[in-house]
Amino acid sequence: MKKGDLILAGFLVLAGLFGAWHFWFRPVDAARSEIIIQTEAEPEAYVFPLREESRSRFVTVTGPVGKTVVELAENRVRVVDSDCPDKVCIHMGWISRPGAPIACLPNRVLVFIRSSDPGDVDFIN
Amino acid sequence: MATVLHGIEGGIPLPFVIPGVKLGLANIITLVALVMLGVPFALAVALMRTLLGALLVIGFGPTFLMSLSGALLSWAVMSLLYRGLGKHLSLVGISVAGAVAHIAAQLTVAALILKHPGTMMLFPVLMVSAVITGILVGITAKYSLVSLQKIYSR
Repeated sequence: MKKGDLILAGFLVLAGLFGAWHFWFRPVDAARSEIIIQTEAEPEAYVFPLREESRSRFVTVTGPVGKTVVELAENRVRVVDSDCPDKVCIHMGWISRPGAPIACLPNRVLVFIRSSDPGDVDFIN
Repeated sequence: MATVLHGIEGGIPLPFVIPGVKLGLANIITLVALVMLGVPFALAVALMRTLLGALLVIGFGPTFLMSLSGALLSWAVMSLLYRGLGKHLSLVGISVAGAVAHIAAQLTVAALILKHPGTMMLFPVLMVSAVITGILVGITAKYSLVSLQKIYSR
């Protein structure tokens, strides 16, 4: 362990904390956000408002490797089942804010939340 | 000539290819190759393990692009740091930088493939795990090198 190691590690930890705060601790305006399900054929195959009380709804989309099932719940969405080999999309879990999407690469499915409010942060810019 | 022979010999650890692309453990091989065989051979090793990984496990789709970019960027960063700042950084620091470069490249490629810049928001979380695996990789590389150098200095 040398001095440079500690400086590097310290810098990276701080950068990580800053980025994490930036992403996790900003409020989401659910009223003006939408859930988008994107398939290979259609960039906006399904569009739902993010905020909806007591909804548990399932949408199935089909892609090159089979079916991907998306569950929409109150203010959040996830992929609950998929025919892909690695199931990375399922392991992502729920998303409830604009930013990182849930992607099933083999099946060419993308599930994400988009904010209609230009003041919201969709990505760091 | 001895260096060339060493290089070929050094190519043998390749069956090590772990489908742990996500964990970036494969950087152990690149780092050890970097120290023992030098920058160009380390690049060859990194490329070969990426190709083998694709042939044997993951296939040549978008995942391959991601692992290739990760392997290349982490090789480049570790090579630069090893040759430039060897005084101030131990192998642990170099491998942490390599691990962060690895996931940064993979994430960027993923964001480009998906055409969704929001993917980059995963960066802070991934970076923490990259630092942790980087530390583990660095420690493992350090001890591997000690053993390997004992074997090779007949």
